[in-house]
Amino acid sequence: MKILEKVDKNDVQVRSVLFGRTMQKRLQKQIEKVQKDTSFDTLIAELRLKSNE
Amino acid sequence: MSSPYVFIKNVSKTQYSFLTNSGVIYRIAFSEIPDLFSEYPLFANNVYEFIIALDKSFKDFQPAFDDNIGITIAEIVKDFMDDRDKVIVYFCDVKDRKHKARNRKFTSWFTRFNDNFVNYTIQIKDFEVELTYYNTLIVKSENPCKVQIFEAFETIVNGFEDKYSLLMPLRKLSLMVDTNLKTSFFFYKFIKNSIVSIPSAKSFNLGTCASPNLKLFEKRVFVETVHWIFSAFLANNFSKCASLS
Repeated sequence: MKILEKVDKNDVQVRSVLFGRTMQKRLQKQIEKVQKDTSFDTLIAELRLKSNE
Repeated sequence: MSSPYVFIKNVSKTQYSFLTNSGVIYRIAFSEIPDLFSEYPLFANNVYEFIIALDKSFKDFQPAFDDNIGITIAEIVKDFMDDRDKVIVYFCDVKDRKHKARNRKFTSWFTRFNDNFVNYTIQIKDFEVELTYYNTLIVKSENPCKVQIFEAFETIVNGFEDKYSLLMPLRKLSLMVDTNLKTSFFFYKFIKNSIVSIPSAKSFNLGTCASPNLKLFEKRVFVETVHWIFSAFLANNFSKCASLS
């Protein structure tokens, strides 16, 4: 609650924290997107072929 | 230094993948993030978010220590940064609370493999959830805009610029409604957790906001927040703000 107690005095700090939280949420979505992205499948298939050579 | 693991990339060099000796597949992505520096058109379109993910078949898998992974990732970063103007940002994932270890690892990789880059990490301490967010920027030493880029990064991460509405329309709404950040923070939190939708200011339904699981303190804040919303509504501000949703 420390942040919220300071809110009225220092909104820059709150903005900074909210930025951090926003980017974390974005990161989670991005990781999921990368894990589900089927365009990686072609790369991975190629990678497996190379590793079997 | 050559990469110990063979990596494959797509034509646009935004996706990379490699396979380790223990059979783990890594997916590396460089995702455009022009919104981050939208106020800085000089370099906004050169910024990419760096994402490391395990292949979906290894979700929640804990890879064993493998020194070759760091070397390979460093080589991938160098391969991607073929243009002096490219900028990388990365945010250490806090989901499993291993963000400090991740930051230490990335920093050690940077120190060990760096030959022509400059990095800048800014920490944000979130006392409410007892977390530190590590936000890092990497540019090439010869990037002509590096000073401006670092300054812009400081401005954004330290909260001197309103960037916390990034890709978050609801958050933007809550801030438009309220100039008192304390109230708007709770308003955002309650809307995010409880509300289904806000079709319009006139049909705003308190029932959709009320959650039976609210703690006493939260209920008090909720009541205060709702009181404020209606005050704002009566002051003829809310309808204007709600239209933004």
